[in-house]
Amino acid sequence: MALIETAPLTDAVIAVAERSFFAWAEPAADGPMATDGVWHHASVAFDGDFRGRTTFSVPPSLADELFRCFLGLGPDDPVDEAALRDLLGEFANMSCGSWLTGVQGRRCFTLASPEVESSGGTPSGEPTAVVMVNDQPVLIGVTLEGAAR
Amino acid sequence: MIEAHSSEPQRRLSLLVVDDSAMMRVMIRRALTLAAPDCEVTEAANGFDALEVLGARSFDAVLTDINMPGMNGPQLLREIDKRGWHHVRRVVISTDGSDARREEIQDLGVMAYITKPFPPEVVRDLLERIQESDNGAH
Repeated sequence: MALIETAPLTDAVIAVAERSFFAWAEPAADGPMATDGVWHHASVAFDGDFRGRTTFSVPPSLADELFRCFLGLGPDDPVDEAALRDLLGEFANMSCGSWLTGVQGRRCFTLASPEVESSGGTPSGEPTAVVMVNDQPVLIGVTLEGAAR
Repeated sequence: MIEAHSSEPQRRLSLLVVDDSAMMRVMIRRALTLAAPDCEVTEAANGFDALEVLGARSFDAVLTDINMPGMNGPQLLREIDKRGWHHVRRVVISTDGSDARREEIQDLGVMAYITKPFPPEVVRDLLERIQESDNGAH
């Protein structure tokens, strides 16, 4: 798969955001967006018909909002960092799995455990797709390592 | 509006959720208790913990993830078979919705395969199936 179709990718993220996080999501309109400051990056390596990694970059304000909504926390309740990372990892895990289920059809695939890190700015280069979740961007990056089978 | 009522009394279900992600366990527990507020949900973080809990008391069903460190979901289901706990209904909840994975898992005696993310009605239907199979068994 040399060229990644963005529609199945954005559909997968929208389904996860809406079904599991009770958020409102839609594909982002083209145009520049602010990507400075610290972002959370949740990534999942996959292996199947093709091998690679998906990365979902989320601004802290959205991560915080999703976490509080998910656990029913108030604005002043403390946020457990480990639980927040777990939640972002599951967001990535479900999004990647849902995407692969859609594009691979019959064949099995395996997903590695999600990895979550935080760093200044977003990954270099253009994201593969962008989805707006509660009016905030989720940048989706997919890197392929070539045919696995 | 006419409401349909089952003639069989609904028994309180006892369910074991096995997933290495605490947040995913929260998500599944919430879906289960929304569908059946009186069901009893116990959690385990991996297959080894699940076997310990299953050995200590009886459950109507175990709902397990596939990918977990230590003992994964398929290994857990095989071990449940080996130990003769055939009364425990088996449900797999996974991000992998491929036909091949479903077929592979089906051989392990699962009554349902749920793909994440799932809508609430999928869990409601599952619990109804567990209740129905329970009623049919008595």
